[in-house]
Formats: sequence, C-alpha cells, structure tokens
Amino acid sequence: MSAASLIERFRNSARHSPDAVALVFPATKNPAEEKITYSVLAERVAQLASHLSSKGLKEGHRVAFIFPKSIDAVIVMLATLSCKATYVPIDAELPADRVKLILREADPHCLINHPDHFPSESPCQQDQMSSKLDLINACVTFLPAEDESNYKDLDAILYTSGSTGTPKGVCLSEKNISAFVDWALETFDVSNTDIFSSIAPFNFDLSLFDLYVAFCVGATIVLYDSSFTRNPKSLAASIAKNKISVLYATPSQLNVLYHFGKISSEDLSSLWLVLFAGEVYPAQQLHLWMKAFPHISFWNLYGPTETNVCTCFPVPKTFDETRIDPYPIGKVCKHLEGRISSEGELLIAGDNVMEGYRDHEEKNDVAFMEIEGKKYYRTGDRVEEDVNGDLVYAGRLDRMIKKRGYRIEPAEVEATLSDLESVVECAVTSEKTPDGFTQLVAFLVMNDPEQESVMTIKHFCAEKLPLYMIPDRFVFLKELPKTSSGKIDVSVLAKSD
Amino acid sequence: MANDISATIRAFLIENIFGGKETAELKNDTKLISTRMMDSIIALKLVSHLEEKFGIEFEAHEVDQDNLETIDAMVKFVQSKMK
Repeated sequence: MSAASLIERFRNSARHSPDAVALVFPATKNPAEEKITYSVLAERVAQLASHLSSKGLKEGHRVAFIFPKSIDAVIVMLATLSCKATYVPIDAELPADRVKLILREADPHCLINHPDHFPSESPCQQDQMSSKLDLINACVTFLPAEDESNYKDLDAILYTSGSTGTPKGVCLSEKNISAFVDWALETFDVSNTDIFSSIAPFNFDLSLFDLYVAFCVGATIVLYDSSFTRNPKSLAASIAKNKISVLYATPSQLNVLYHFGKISSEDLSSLWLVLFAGEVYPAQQLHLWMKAFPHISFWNLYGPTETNVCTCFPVPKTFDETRIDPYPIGKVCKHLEGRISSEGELLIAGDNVMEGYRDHEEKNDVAFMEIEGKKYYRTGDRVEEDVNGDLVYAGRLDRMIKKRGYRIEPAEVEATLSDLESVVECAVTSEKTPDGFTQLVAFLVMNDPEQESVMTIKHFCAEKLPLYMIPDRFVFLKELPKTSSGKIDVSVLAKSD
Repeated sequence: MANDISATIRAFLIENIFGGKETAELKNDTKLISTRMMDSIIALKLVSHLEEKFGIEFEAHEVDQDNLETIDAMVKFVQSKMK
C-alpha cells in the first residue's frame, strides 16, 4: 500500500506533470469544453482549502456539498480532503425532502452548495454566516455540528437506501479508499496517457475509481453531468470525440448507450477497458457490446458501497453467443478475504470494508460479523462457487433491489407510499423488462377505487423520493396476498406478473 | 396528422406509465419530465418509438426536456421534423 494519502498522490501528479489536463467538462448544448490542467486544479484546490480552514474547517469535520457534476464539485472534494475533513456528496437532483433528511443525518459542519441548488429551508437562507465564495461559484455555510465521531480519518460518507425509511451513511476512511485504489492500480494497467470517463454521480461509489485512480496516475478525467446520462446520443458521441480509454459504468448505462445512443456506430478505437458494476448485466445484452467492440476488455466488478469492489471477473473475449446466464462475479480481490456463510451469504473482510454506518450502532451490529477475530461485512448477497472457483451471484437474502446500479430498499418506498392517506396497504417488488432494465412495481390497495390515480401517487413520490425510487408500474388490488402469519406475501406478488 | 402523432404518444404513455389503463388525468399539456412522471429510460424508449413510427431522427441535442415535456410539445417537434 502506498504511504502517501490520496490528496498527496494527487499533488504528486500535479508536480510531476503540471501541464497535463486533469479535467475536461463538456456540455451537451455547447461544443466548447471547460478544461483544467493539474497545476491549475492543484492551485485552486489549495486556495479553497486555505479559505475553508481560515473560516474554521478542521480535521474530522464533515463537508456536505450539493452540486451538479462540474469542475467546481471536484475542487470542493479535493479541498475537503486537503483539510483532512470528510466530504458528503448530495445529488443536486434529489427532492428537497430527501436532501433535508440526509443533511439532518449527516450533521455537517460546513455546507457548500451551488447557487442554483439551495436546499429549501436551508440554513443558507436564514443564517448570516452563509457567504458567497469567490473561488468557485458556490455558497458556503458553517453550521454548529457534533464534533464527536465514532470513526477517524474519514474521506467520504456516501448515502444509500436504508430499510427503515431513512438513508444510511456509509463511512469510508482514507484507508478504505486507498486500499481500493491500490488494488485497481495493480489490476488494471492504466497510466497517465489514459482518458477516464466520469459517468457515475459523485455520491455513487463508482466515482471513487474514476477520480482517485485517474488522479494517482496523472490521467485525464472527462466529467459527464446528468444532461449526458439522460442523452445517450450526446454521451456516445462525446466518448468517441474525447477518445475515452477507460470507462466504468452500470450495466443499465451501458445498455442505454447501446440501445439509445447508437454507440456501435461510433469509433471507439481508444477505449480498451470497460468496467461494469452495480447490478446484474444480462449476458445477451453484454454480448451486444462485445460483438460491436471485440478489442475492448470487459470486467464484471462486484461489491456493495460498504466494501467497494470486492470480487472481479474478466469476461473472456471468446464467448458463447447463446449464453443466457449472467457472467460470474469472479474471485475475491486478493487483498481482501471472503467467506461464504452456511446460508450462502458472501462475507468480506479487509481494508476496503467501511468503518461503519454513521451513527447507527444497531445497524453496524447487523452489518458486521466477527469470525476468528476478523470483522466481516455481511453483503446480504447469496453466492455459489462454480467449477472454475468463480463466485456466481445467486440472489439476495433480503428484499433489496438493484435498479440502474442504485440500491433500493422496498421498505423505504413502501413507507413513503403508506404516508398517502388513501393507501390501505402496499408492497414493492421489481421486474426485468425484455431489454434488460429493472423496473419497480408497486402493488397498492386503496381505500376507495376513485383514488387509484397513478398521476397523484407518482407526484407524491416525486416530492419525497429520488427518481430511481419512484415505482415504474402500479398495480391496484383489492387485497394483498398474506402468509399464514398475516404478513404480506411478497413472493406471491413477485411471481404474479 | 397532428391527431395521429398525438394518439401515438398518448398510447405509448398510457401503456408505459399508466399501466395500460386509459386516464383522463393525462392531458396534452400535462408536464411529464419536470414533474418526474416520465423517467429517462421511458423518455428514450418514446424517442425511439417516434423515430421508428414517423421515420424521423432526433439529433442528439434535440432529446431534451423542451421537446419532451408535454404531449403538445412532442407533437409540435415531430411535425417540425416531418416537414
């Protein structure tokens, strides 16, 4: 493991190749691209870090930021790390209620937000302490927050769906992220001549690869904001134009690029490495990419946010076109330890594994399991070993759903639906469409058939939940099937469609 | 023609968002994207559907909220492409 911290390794790259382009930020509607070299980026990071610490930001403080993807957002993250503080990325497109929930839970010492993304009832609007930054286009507010933390040296807290109706903060330390980055550097032969894409949002663990692996080798990163991810034709064209060589995305995103971005007609001769993670990639859909671009190496990476990537599988370039079964998730990364419990659950120990959830002792008690003095994270995923010793994903132990790489606890969606007075009972399951996308299905019993309005229910969900958690399909029933003990029988619903 | 385009879009939305059940709630000026009624994948499927059905092609920059926000906006856009 490298002795230098991630931020020191970024600075080393800046010293080594000051004039190399660190970030490119294209726009869908404007052919001009913003670019910034390593030296200028390092300078702006240092300026912001010095400003924040002069205003009172200290080691161990939490910095929440609400920003669309941009060069400024990267400056905020790196400046936070420079101050040995912890960044908490909050998706700028989340509904206000969700932002409030995360802010309450994260209890940040400092909130930095893009001027267009004031959280409603934000402290920014009431507090005189809030000020406009000159260094980047943002507003900064210092807040009274609890200094005590259960964990040390945290770099980031990433929020994911929680089964009790509130998001959970996954606390990742410098050790956790460095261990992952070092593994990636050993596994993939990337260098400063590579051009990385950054497609996943910064609140998503895929971004840790895009940013820190690239910064450690002094490569260029092309930042794609949500206008690109919603517009696959622009994204496909930009991937070709910018000669992206390393791309890490969810299977859904790759699927969208193939089906709607017409990527197979683009010249992707520079692209040599495509990594995918976050959900199962149906083999037939993956083969479409492999047939269009036989020169690319495809890797299936697996791991929840709590462990980051913990198993990996290089997809063989020669493949059986009739294969239906998804490819294995592969072998446990060599710097980690894996076990399969008697229930078939994959358990992971090692430096990648998160320190714990923020302020959730009881959740930590369930998430970890100690075996022979080692702390194992319980992935909740069932796995089986195939004849080659590769692990094959065999489903969840609980009801968690993966949709477009996002984790969704159905209970969280059900809790929101139940807040509607007209809902008597409800259950949420998932289904796969023929073209390989996962959809959420809500089964609802309403107290009056007149209330069966998809529009009203969707509007209500849209105010409370992120877009990916809003059910795609609604099924109205007179009653929900029950088990003998009177609980809703979700397995019957899942099969009924 | 406008009626044809409108009916095609409406049928698609009823099928893909409203579970196949015709509803008076969906009007020609109902906002679909800013209100999160229609997510990005449904929007992309709709674009492909319209391209196929009316023999048009959306340029990359045309796949945006302005052209997809309401049934009215989509009809207007498809008509402009067919001229």
